[in-house]
Amino acid sequence: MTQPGKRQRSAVRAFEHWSITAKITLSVALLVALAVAVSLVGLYGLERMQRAVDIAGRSSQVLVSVNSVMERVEYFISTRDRDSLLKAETILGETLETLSGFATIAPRDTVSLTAGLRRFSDAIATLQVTTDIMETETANMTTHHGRMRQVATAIEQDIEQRRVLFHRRAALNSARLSDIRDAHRILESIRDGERAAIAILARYMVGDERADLARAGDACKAIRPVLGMLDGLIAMPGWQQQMDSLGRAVNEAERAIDDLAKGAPAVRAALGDRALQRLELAHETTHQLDHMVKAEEERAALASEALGTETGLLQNAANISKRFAERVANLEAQTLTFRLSPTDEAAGAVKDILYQLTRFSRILPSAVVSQDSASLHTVSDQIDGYGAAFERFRQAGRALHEAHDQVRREAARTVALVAQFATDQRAVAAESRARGTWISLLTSLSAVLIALIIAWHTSRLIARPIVALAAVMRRLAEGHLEEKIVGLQRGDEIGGMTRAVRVFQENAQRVRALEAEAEAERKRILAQLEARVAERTEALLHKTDELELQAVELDQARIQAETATRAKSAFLANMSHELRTPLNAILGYSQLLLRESDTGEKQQRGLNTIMKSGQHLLTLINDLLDLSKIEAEKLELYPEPVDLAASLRTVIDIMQIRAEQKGVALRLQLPEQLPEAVLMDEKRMHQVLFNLVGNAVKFTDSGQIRLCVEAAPETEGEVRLRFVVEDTGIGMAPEQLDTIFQPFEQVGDNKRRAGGTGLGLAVSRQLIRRMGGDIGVSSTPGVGSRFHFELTLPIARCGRESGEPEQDIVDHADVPKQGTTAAPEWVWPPPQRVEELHRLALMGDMRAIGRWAEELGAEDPRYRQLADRLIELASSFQSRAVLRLIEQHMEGGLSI
Amino acid sequence: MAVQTRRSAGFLSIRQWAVLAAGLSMMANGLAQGADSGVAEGDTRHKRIAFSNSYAGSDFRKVMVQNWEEVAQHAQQAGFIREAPVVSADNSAPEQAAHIQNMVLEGYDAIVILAASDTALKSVVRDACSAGVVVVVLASKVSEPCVYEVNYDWAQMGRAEIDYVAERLGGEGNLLEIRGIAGDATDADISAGIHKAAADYPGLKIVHTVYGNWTASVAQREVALALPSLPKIDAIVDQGGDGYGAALAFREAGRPLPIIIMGNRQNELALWQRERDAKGYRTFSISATPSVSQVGFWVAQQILAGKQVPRVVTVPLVSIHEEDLDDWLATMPEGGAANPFYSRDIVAAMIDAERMGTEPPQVPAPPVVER
Repeated sequence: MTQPGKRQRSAVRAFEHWSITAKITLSVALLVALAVAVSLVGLYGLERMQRAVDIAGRSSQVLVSVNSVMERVEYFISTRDRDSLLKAETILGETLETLSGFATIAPRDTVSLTAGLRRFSDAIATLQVTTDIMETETANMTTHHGRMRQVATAIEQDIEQRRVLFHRRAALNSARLSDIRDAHRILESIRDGERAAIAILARYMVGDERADLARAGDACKAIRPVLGMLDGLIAMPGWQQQMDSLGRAVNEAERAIDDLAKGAPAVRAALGDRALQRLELAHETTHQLDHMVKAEEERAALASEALGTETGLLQNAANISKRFAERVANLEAQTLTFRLSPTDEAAGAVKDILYQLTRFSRILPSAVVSQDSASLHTVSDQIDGYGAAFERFRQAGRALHEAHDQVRREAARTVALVAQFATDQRAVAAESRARGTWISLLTSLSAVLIALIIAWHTSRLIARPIVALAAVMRRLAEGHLEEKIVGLQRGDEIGGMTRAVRVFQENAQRVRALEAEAEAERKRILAQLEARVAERTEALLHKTDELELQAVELDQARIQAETATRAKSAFLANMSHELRTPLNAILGYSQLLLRESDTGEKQQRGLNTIMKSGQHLLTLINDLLDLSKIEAEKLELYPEPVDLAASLRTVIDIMQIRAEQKGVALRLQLPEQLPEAVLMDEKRMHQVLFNLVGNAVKFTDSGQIRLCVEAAPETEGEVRLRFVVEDTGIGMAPEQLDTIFQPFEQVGDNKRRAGGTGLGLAVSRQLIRRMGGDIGVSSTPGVGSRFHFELTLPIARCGRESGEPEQDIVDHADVPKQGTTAAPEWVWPPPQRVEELHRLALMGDMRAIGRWAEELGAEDPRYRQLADRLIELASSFQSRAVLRLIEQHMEGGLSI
Repeated sequence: MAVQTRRSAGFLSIRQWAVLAAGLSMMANGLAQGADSGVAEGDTRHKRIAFSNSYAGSDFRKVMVQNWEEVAQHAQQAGFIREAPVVSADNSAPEQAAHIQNMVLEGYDAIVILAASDTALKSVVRDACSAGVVVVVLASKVSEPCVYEVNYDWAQMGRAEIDYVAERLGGEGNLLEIRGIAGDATDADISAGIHKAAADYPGLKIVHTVYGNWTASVAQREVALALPSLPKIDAIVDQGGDGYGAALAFREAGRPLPIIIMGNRQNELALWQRERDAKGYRTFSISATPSVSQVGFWVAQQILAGKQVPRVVTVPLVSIHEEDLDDWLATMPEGGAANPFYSRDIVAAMIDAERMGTEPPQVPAPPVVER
């Protein structure tokens, strides 16, 4: 053996001395270390994959953001909605922040992406700036345009005011011309009048006699109102003086003409001259006035001409201003067209209109232009301002267009970049996942192998000595107590166990020795016991045989007795019936004979004797019959609604005759709250009461007899009644009280006994018992007797008028069982089979009856009901009920 | 514009009107034996008559339209017609032609026309006749043979005035004529009647003519302007509505009132009454009335009811003589005018008188129109 080999063996042996716990702990520690190593490898792969997935996810997010920004930018381009642009910038800012977080993960990858996004952001900013410029210029254009419109409006208003003014002046001039025309006509009329007057006066002055001076005066008079028409028509210097002068001249002429007409011929010439002179003055003045009117007319004509010229100029100005206003309006429309479709053609149209406006502005009426007096704007300023603003707007528009393109380009570039980035990262993630899967698989497999080796080795170290020990123990258990045990010297738990097995082996060897002694002792005692048991058993067997013999004998005796009783009852019943028929014939004929009038006294006495004897015999037979029925348990009660009071009175009425014959008072005493009707068998009740009251009458010679009923309060359709028959008769000794209810027992002297059967009280007691009560008696010799019984009777509510009992009123189920149950119509087997059953019933062999019934039921389904009933009774060991059932059937034909 | 004329034939005093009125109902009943005389009772309940009025700007025309509406309402309630609306044009022939065309299209059974022009409406009136519409031309002219004309005899009015003046002046004297509106057909008719009648009296000279526009103020002014050169005026023949203005002009010129033929206005009748009471002034009144629209209405209704009606129905002018003056003025308010109410019976009698060439009937008691 080599040195190293020795060392190894000693090391193994040293290891064997380690405790099992230490060995298992070492194994578990090795497995845990292995698991940790595998997990670390897995974690590394997972972390790599997670990073790749994270980058890919963020890339997608950036892609979505860029698309969203682009959508908003496009929306802004189509609608100029500033909010959407602001929102786009916000999203872009957030995306850049996202990327900055991203940089910590993949710093190299994000640099180009961030640069791209910044360019995108710059393009949007340019877009915004350009839009601002356009809006500013639009506002400028609007301002300039508004001012131009104000100018146009102001000029139009000015022209309109001037037009109104001209119209007024023209109207005034027209009125003036009309007045002048009127003035001409008036002056013409005056001149005509003056001429007429001058002509007449001239003719008068040359001596013409036909000249009518009065007409000349009339002409002058007529001038005055016409002159008045001139008032207010013409207003010019010297007019009024001329008017006054004319008026005076006409008046003076008129007066001169009057004087001339009235004057003497001497002064005619002078007066005529004066009148002529005045008229000529007036004529001259009229002429002057006409000249003045003509001058006025010329002035008015000139004024009209001037007005016409001015109106023409005004119209011209109005035309120019109207065309200016039209072009101002057109400018707005064309600008709008350009804004909607910024083509060179549309821009050319706007410029063309601006050029036209510039030309119009040079020939516009020199009206003040601005409503804002603080800053005076000329039309040219506005047109130039509009043109400049439009040019800037146009440039901004171009810039905007370029910015649009720039934004779109940057967006596309960024999208491409992000997409490429995302694709790369997805590839990295996929690769990491595949590598991680392989590494995990390999490490897991090697871990499993190592674990298996550790487990095998450990189990080998621990399990082998235990298995050997188990084999030793099995041998010991099989009884090989001499088995050799090895490994007692081991230091671990197995060594302990081996030593324990050794102790067990020694103990077992001791127990085996003790058991051998005990077995010998037990065998001795058992032999003694067996001898004593055999002895006792012999004695018991002997006694049992004796008892069995006695039981058979007793059973036979019982069967004989019962058969005899049944035969007696049947005989009695048959005999009673057979006796009663002839007896009824005897009684009937005796009665007929008694009614015959020609019978002699002796014959009548004989007949009476026959009647009395017959009656007695009949009573005896009836009682016997009742008794036999009761004993045979064949007596049935027929309860029906009975007016209790009336029923009792009937009893009293009948007995009253006999009582009166004896000079005894018979009283009925009823309670106040007696039910109208109760359900009971009236016939049987009468039988009992007749018996009791009859006995009372029979044994009472003086005093009184009382039938008394006491009623307890009604409860649930029932009433508890106490019947008492009390007399003041001879009474009975206490020892007699025990026998009076026995059949054929009579008390009292012979005289009184005559006429009694000795069965009455026995029958009565049985009847009352069947009704659910019992008769009691108390008596004192020489004082009287008192019979009483109590019954619980259902209350019937019957219609007495109709006399028909209303059976439905009381539920029969509630009536106490009084033997009224009707046997169902069972189908019975032939009589010899019934005899067989009867025999079994008499023997009381319930098991045999059960078997018999089962056979019967199997034989014919018609017997099934009967069989079921018998099985039911037999299984509950109601031997008496079985017997009654069979005997009822066997006596089925019995009827009295 | 106002239409004012009178005629000499058939102008009756109030008493004469009253006498004739008594016999009127007898005539209406008694002459009803033939379908041609008396009131035609044909069923016109569902007929519709329209009034196309050329102008409604003057008081005269306003009253005329009002009179039409009164009679239309009355006739509607009495079950003579279904409806009779009025449509007025603004003195424009094209507008009126359009109105008439509409009425034809709307299916009116008869159209009463006060024409704005006697020539411009010819074609539209012919179309209406062709469409079976009864066309009645009222107080105007449309030179179309199918129309019925209801009018005053204007020439007769001028004759009546000249006859009266000649009688008063014994056939000699200077006359001043006041005409209406230059160029108006009615003015020309009346003036022609005056001049024609004056030719029968060589002693009567119409020394001057002025246009008073049927208006008192214009007449006063024109007469005043003429007066200084006029010789003595014995009578003024006019066309109604201008007598008052002429009288004022004479008074202001200090001249005595000549015989001025009066119209139907209250102011001229009252002046006549005062002058009569003060100086025994005498004259007479003749005039057309705005209620002539009622005559037009009933003529149209009677044609629809089946009455035989001549193409021209002459409406008697209302004349007031000295003896009736107080009666007329008694019920006439200041600013009012004489304006009789024309019933269906009277118009039927007028038609019959026209057919038989007898004297026209009278109107009932003198009603008054507020101005």
